[in-house]
Amino acid sequence: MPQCSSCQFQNMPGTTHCGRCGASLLLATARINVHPPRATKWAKTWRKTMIWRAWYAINQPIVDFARQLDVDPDNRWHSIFAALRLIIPGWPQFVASKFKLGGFLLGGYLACGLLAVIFYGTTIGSLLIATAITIHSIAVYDVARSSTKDYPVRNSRILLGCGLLGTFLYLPLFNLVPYYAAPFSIQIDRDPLLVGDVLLVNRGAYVWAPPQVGDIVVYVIAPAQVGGVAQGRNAVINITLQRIDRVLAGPGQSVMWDGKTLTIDGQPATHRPLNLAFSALPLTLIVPPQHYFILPSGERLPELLPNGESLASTLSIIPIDNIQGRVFWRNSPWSRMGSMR
Amino acid sequence: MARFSKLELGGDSPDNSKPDPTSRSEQKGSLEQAIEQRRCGHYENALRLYSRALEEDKSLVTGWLGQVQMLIMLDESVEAELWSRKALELFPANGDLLAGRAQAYRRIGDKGQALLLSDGAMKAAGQSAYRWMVRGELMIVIGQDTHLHCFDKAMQIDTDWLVPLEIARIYQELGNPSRALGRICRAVELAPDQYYAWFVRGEVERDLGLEKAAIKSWQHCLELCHHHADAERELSRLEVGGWSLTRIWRRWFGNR
Repeated sequence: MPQCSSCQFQNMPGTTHCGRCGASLLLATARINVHPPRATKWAKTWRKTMIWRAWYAINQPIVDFARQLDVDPDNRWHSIFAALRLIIPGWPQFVASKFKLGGFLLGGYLACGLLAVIFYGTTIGSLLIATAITIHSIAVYDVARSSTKDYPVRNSRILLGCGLLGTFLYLPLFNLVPYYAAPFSIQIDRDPLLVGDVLLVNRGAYVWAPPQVGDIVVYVIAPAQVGGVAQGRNAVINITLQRIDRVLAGPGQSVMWDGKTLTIDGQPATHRPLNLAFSALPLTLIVPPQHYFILPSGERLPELLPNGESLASTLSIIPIDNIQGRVFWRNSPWSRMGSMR
Repeated sequence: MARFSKLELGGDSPDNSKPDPTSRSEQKGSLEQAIEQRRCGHYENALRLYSRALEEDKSLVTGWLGQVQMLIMLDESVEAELWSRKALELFPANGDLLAGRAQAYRRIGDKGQALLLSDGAMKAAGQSAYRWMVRGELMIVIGQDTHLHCFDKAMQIDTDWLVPLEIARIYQELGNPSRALGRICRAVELAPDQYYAWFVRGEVERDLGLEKAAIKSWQHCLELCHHHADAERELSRLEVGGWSLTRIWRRWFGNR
């Protein structure tokens, strides 16, 4: 009569498993490894870190949620998918039936985000972005606070949650958005651009495609000091800084400007410089390859420079590398908000 | 017939399936030694001895359970969970093994799974102090006051001094040395001649910032066991160290 070593039940002879508890009765002669796996010193140290604990802690509600949905919680895709829930503030709160808090967080985040887009490039816009991120952090904090009363674990979860969001959401966002919509504040009045205007510049516009005639672009002229006359006196004039104007002709095109009429390849040009009030001296030229013709229309070159004509020719030919991006939107002030064409 | 009984005939070979009484005593020795080492706080040695006992007889549930418990004590909860899973394949309805797995899950951080397993352990046949201890640990984690009842129940089931000591260890692990102190004092009352109880009491007192009391406890531990390396090390730390970041960290965040 074999006796079960687990529950001491007397089983019938010939049985291989205990009739009461199901334990194997052939263990005494079975070939089983009885030496347990051991953790390395490194693994033990790693598991004591806040990151491991926090990852496990954040992962846990997700795994529980997966179990509720009757899916395999050990499948990492379910965990990763569910971890994405933290990306939207208020979503975890909705899942946890905290509808008021979830609504407040999501509503506040969306409102701040929308206003930040409207005020983008201004101080108020920056403050609104900071508020939106704070609301997101509060959402992460609430998830961590609800999950445990253990302060160190809670703090580590908050740190990890915010760290992951910062690393994988906000850091890429703050790198990409200023690249494709960099705010550009106007410092000097040159009609139609006035002090206080905030323009959005797409710096990636010409990575894959060349500039088109008619585009309004941000470009730089190579720094130069030229002798000239200012307010009736001889002066050294610095010509540098970023400028904004329209591309009037592309590589290989012949340009003729008589001070009033612009002709490209013998035909009247379809585009005009931004500011016709200050036009350069008459000039005639052919745009070299890899260069664009942008008339420095904002400059009072005829008044400033004795040899303005030749200098205007030099300043008008812009290498493609000096074109930094395309201006596509005026974001501020609201009264003149709109696309730049 | 007695004069033929000593003849060696072919069909009368000794039965190999019966366990050898000598090896049985050896394995019992290993198990006893393992328990002895565990009661001294030498968990690494205890784990090795439990494995040795199982090499002889794999049907010793105590051996499997001991291994799981030692792995948990040695902060190897992931391995403990894996090992308890393997042990449960051999002994599917063993309540203590279920409790062991629940404790391993709790230490890893999966309290939902731990609760399910603990429920299973409580429903399993029989009862043990260990199941109630694990239950109590889980009750603390989910923020229920019933942990006091669970631990009291564990101490009623088993009056051994090791039970309050392990309860104190649980409180310590959960960063609650003030509750641990009461339990470890009870363990010391039950077994004032056990140096390991004095050592743990010193640790708990240190966590509470009662440095003089901790020094006394460790000195008492050293009186009972002259070469207790851990007690010597802790004493020298307290005597040498004045201000230290580690101590401030422990004061704020507990001993983890």
